[in-house]
Amino acid sequence: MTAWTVDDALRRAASIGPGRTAVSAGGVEITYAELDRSASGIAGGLRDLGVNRGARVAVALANRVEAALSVYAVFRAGAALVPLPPGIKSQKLGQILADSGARALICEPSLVPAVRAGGAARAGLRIVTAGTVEGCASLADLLRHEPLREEPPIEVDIAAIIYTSGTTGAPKGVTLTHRNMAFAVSSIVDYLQMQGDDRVVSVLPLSFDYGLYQLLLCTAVGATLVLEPGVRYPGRLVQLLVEQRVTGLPGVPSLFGMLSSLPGFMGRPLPHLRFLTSTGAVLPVDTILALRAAFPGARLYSMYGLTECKRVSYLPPAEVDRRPTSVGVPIPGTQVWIEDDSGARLGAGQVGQLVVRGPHVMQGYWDDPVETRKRLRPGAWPWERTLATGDLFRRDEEGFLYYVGRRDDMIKTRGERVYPREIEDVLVTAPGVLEAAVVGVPDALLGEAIHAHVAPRPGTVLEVRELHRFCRERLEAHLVPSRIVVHGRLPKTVNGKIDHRALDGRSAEPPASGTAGPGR
Amino acid sequence: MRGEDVDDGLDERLRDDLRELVRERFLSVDPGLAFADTDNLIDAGVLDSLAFVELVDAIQQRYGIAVRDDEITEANFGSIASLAGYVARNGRP
Repeated sequence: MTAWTVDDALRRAASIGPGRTAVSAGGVEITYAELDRSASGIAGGLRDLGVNRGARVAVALANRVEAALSVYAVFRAGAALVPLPPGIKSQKLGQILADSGARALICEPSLVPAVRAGGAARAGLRIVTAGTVEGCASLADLLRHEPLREEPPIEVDIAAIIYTSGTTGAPKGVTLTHRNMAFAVSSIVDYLQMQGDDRVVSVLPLSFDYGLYQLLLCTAVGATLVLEPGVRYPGRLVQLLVEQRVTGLPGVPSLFGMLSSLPGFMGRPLPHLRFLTSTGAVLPVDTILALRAAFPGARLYSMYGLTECKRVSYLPPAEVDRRPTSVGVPIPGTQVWIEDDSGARLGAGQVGQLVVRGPHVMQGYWDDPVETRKRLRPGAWPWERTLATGDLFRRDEEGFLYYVGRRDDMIKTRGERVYPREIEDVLVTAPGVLEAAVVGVPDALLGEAIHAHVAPRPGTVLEVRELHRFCRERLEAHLVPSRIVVHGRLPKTVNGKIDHRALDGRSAEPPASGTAGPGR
Repeated sequence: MRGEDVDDGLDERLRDDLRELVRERFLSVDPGLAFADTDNLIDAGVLDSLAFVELVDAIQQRYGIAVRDDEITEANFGSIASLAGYVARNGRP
């Protein structure tokens, strides 16, 4: 049985291994047969609420079993999933519900006041809660509905609209078909070598595409997903890794950095662990070395991607010791190249924009042809479009990719182009520095001035003068930050990345306008 | 969650000490933030999961405790009161 859609993948898992555990969360476990049956029931209930094929349904639930049921119910109904964080603020929720024209919202009971207060509840929006709230339908009622027995979605149907906050502020809806997502899933499963007996623990929110895909990847191979609503207490994650005999741990660099700093964690035998995956930001080399030394039997994947095509590249684990700073090669079944501003393809060592080609490239931003044209370009054939990532890369002689920075983050100072990464890479090697972020701040004399923000390792104190000296010894004069600011900790986005935008106004005397977006 | 075998005077001093330590380390930018001894430190906005690395380091140094990674749970690190119980059970006097 071929999984043309992400819904097919669930049907297949339920037919091959109906009794296998699909999702385990907060002490509740459901099998693939139960997940499949529940998805059909809720899909029937959604249909009664007016969710027809092609409709949009927002899901704002914490990482728990009901979230998995809801995701697959939306797919089964032939509708498009709009995944949202359960704590989303009312203004943004209102924007997204309006932009997507959502027919229904499945959310935590605690979100309902925000929906109503913010005027987010447009006429016709049906609210379903994972609990009991006056005037709302409940997921439990939908679950008892007759299973939906209609033609399932096919691969050209829309599967999801995933909103990303662009640097300009207004959220943009990355529109993906079942083909986009099912292809990305099969490509990722292939290089991760996932198997039916894998047990993956995910603390990543399902509203983050990296988190959502953990569910889709596990279903594709009939593996078990252990869902946890965020990390909160590191000891809880450690206990899960041991007690649940976890084989796969997806994370972001800050999570791995935190784990590797916990007392005793790196000496802990985790014999079941088969793979660790990291994306969202660059995984620092010292974290890579620490993880490799602690878990020599586990494959470590350093990866790069953006929601607009899910994943772009991965570093084969066998290469990680040789080229720890590379994010590898294109994922199976796709192509990439690096080009200059005129569109000419660049060779090894040259820095330019990364362009992506393949079945994973999005259809566009929902109802936003202007933003879509900035990212999707005419491809080799009249019907094809390629994705301009907006990220600068270089590749080595053997074709391995290296992230250089966001195109928008590039700093122009004294007439020269400066990539923040270059300076950040030096700063994080200074004694006592845990993390660093470099931003450009408008400057009448220089064009832009380079400001660095750093945070110390626990128990250390940083001296700005020392850091300046450290930079002067290692960087060309025009790369040395004109200002270094020490923080307790650097601000993070909801996805755990350093929030450059929150920083770029901080050190400036006149507040700077937004120039930098979060790195990936 | 309190250490049941600890007398109230010692427990009180320990809580004062821990409250001071947490304020000093994590509230230098927001010193006005109020929280009770039984308030959950994450929900009160005092800590997040990444801050535990630093808190654990501080607890280890101050009280001479070898904290184990799997002990960093809500029962032990959830609030000032639970921290006091944990330190009382594991620390040197």
